[in-house]
Amino acid sequence: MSALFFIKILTNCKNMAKKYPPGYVKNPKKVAAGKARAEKGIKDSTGKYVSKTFENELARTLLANKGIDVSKVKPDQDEKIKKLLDDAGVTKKEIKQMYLNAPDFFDDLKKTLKLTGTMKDGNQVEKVIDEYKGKFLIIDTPEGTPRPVSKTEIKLELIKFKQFLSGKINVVDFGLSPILSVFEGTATYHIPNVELLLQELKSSLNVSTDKQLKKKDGTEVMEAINNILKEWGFSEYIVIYVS
Amino acid sequence: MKAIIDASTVNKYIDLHKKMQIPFTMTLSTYTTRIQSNLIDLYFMQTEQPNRVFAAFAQIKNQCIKKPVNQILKEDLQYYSHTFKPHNLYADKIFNIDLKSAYATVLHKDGYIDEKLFNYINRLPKMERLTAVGMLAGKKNIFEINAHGEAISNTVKISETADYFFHCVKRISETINEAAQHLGDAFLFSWVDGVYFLQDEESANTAAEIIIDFFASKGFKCSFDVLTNFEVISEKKYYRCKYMKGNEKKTMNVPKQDTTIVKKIENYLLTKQY
Repeated sequence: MSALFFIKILTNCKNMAKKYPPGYVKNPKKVAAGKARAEKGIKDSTGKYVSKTFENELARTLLANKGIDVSKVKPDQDEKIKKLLDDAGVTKKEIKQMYLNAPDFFDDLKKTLKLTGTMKDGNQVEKVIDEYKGKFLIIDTPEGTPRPVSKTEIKLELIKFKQFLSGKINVVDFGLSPILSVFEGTATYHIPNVELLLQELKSSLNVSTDKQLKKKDGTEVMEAINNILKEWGFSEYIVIYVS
Repeated sequence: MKAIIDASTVNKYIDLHKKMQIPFTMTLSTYTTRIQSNLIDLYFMQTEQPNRVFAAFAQIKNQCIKKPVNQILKEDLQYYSHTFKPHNLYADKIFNIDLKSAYATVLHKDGYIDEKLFNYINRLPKMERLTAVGMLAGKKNIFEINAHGEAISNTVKISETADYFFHCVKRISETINEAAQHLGDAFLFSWVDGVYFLQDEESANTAAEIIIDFFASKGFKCSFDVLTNFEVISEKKYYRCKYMKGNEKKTMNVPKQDTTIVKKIENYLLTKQY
């Protein structure tokens, strides 16, 4: 690796540390309060602080254990959860202890407790994405590795996909099912990379131009798309309806 | 919230409830599994039914309950009949007439649903139509699980609209039985909403005309098919019927009058699964 690379890393660290002006004296009470807050924080088995969503799911679980109905309370409703905790006299310490009593169990849930949402049609998907407070992941290639994206980015991918569907082939509508990771607070969407999909579709239908593709019979196009999506491992999460 | 059912997900939620000593209720019906507790209220869909199926069922239910129906004894319902003998049978060709939209037609003819709804149901794909009507006889198995993870009770809740569905079954079977009388010795067997008969081609066409007219007089539309390579094999508790419908191989098992099979047939009616 080059020396320039190490210099860049060192500079970045110095920039991050440069929070206070030179000579600034930290308030000892504030420092103590900050340390106390940090101690209350829940760290997972890797030593990292857990996300707010994870912490709220733990809080909900503990509240439910104490007989409080939180079935309608979502993990992003911080204020509501805080109020329920205060009213029930449940402390962050108790939540932390609950986690520490079975960290492997909860860490496993974080990784593996996933719900596949029901299929939502084109316009509804946008609304669902708008309302979702968690993090987004997208899978857009056959390799299927989810990558984090912002809400804006995922909406852009959705628009590109819609344009592809209406512009290149005669699509009536499409549906998407997200995979929701409950304790992690993420929603993963399978939205195909349109350039790659177009390439494979043309190859499958033995056409070379967009014009030729547009003229193809709807049933034939739908079958070709369905086969591609099946090969990509997408067919459980996306449905396309052609005319 | 609704999610697609996945056994591993449901089991993880059960484990979480047991670990955290949270009692819960699990309700299992034909199309959904519901887990209700202080922690969650989740519907898991067995299969993804389009919203229009639930919308159709909601309308069917709303209209049906406005007109009372007699209580139907399930034990009296007949889903099939046959004239098979203990020995095996083979025929190059047999003939089949099936009623179209049988259940919806009965509901409409007997004044339980109006023309508008009847037409709407008929526009649904066949499986969705069957699902929407079949929901009238929905059954729920409700399990209560305590904080120790023990199932402490199980109740079965039959839908309040079940008798409307069984009324349809009764009327269809009466119609099919009458059609069987018309067929006389040519009659082979009936299965739910269809009759199967064996004759020479010329006589079969005449018989088909008579049966189709008969069904029409009762308000039913129907389809007529020729089935080939029809074979009946006598097994211990049922007759295995194999045939070709066009290029498709088909099989069905017709019970040898064993009443315990009624439950499986009921499931078949509701799910149309072999």
